Amino acid sequence: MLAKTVVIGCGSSLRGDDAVGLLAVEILRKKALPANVQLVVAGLPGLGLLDLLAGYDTALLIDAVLSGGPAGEVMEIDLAELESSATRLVSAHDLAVPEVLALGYLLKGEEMPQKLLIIGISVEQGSLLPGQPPSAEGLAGAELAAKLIAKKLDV
Amino acid sequence: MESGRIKVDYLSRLEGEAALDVTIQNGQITDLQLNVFEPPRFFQSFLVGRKYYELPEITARICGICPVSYQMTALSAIERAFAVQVSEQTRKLRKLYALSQFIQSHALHIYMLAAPDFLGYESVISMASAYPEEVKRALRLKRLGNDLTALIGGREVHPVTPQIGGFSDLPSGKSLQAIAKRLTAAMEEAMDTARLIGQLAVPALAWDLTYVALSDPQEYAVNGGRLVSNKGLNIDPADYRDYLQERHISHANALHSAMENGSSFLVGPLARVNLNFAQLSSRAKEAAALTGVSFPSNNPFHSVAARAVELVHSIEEALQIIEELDEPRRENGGYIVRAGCGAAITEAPRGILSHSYCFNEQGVVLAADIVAPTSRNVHNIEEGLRLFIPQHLELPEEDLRLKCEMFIRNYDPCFSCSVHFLKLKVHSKC
Repeated sequence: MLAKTVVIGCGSSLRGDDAVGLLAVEILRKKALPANVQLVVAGLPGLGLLDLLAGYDTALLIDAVLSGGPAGEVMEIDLAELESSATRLVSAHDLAVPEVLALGYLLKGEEMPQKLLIIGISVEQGSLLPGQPPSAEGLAGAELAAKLIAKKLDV
Repeated sequence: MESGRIKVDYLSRLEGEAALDVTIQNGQITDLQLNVFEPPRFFQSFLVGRKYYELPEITARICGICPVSYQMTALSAIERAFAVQVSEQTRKLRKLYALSQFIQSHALHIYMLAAPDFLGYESVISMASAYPEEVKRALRLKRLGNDLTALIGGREVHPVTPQIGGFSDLPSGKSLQAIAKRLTAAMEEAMDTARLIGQLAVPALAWDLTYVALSDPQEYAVNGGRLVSNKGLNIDPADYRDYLQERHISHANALHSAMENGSSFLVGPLARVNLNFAQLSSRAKEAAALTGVSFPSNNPFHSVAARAVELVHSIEEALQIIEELDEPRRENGGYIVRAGCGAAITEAPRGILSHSYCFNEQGVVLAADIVAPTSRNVHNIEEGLRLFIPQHLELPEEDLRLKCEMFIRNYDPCFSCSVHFLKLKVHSKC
């Protein structure tokens, strides 16, 4: 894979399993990655996500998802599926990933990656409380997601 | 709606959580409560026992949107307690730093929160298809504000360079010149923002409103000046606790703020533009004319126009400061930690932010008092709704509910910071 690629982990490091996307990026950091791949621990970037994506050909976004599936399950989510799941905007001060991506492709399509894949790590609502450490299932999910991404990056 | 109950269980496009519950009987409001259920965070309590130099870092975490204001206010209060005088260069850099936050916060509010309301869209996402250029403009203006914050503060969120007496690192003249070019280019976009506001229809509201802001005859007050109102208040900001009273109310985790006579008051962009119109930059005065609003205005719906005026002012004054700063130079500063108390107020984008601390001789915090701008406004929002709702009872319930939400969003409340805030319920009694 020679295209300019960015791997972005999203989530809050202070809310238990919400951190699994960040943890997956940290696991990838320990691997020897090709020079065309950048890793970003984005936290909760809000609109800043558009700046992080700008100029890349391919983007892999890793985030915790409430899918209803078993905790730790890793899934590949297409942008089209994500758009349909966008919920009502609650706070513009805290735009969520689906809204920011929808806004980005609507307004700045030329700057956005042509390929964008979301790697979702399934978590449970109860594991997202402030101050909690990540659960064993969440950590296993982060490992699994990192492996999946490494495979996609031919590492 | 002659009689009924308006309930908004979760007010959207606000920062933090709150609800509105209004009961109307025979055209009269019999009960109105703005319930701020965002949980309290006890910052004032856990600051006690911390060292003075931790305050700017910790209090910046109260808000991810205006950490700059928390840092500036904490630093000013500490410097007052330790009798630290800052240099003219530091004063100018701090003003530039504060203006960067006005640019990013106002661009976000005008385009992402207010514009969808006034243009009839549920959110900026649904507005973006019809108004792509406007939303792109908002993203550019916000990026500019964020980049200016990062240039001075070291990073966009929870910046790191501000310290007692000055900054730990300074932007180079070259980097300031580079951002000045972008500010110059953004000026017309800010003027276009004022033109857009001029096309929006806002509801009328007659109100004998009290408004409070910092004021300085020499400049558009943000980090200094006296605390004044349109009703005769004129005090040293450090004395705020003697004049602005706070009380607990049972239905909200935000305190209610009132003047000595018990009346509520408004803080924020409209208060500032009303009280300090003379100190606005020349392009900002032009922008005011473009919005079609005649300042001073007693209609909180004109807050969005005041934000557009301040957006223009912030860009123009930022350019002026950069020219004056030229090449910032390292300064040797020192201070003596001493026992005593210090208080300060700065203008955050949403209004006055007050910090007050007392220290022992080791600089350990003995007492802390922090009042966020939204805490100042919550009482005023309730009073305003009591006037606003009876003037719009002819509206169907859903429209009235939306109007109430719009009314509240005009204040750009940040209930996360105010707790110590929204859902709307309107009860009908026939």
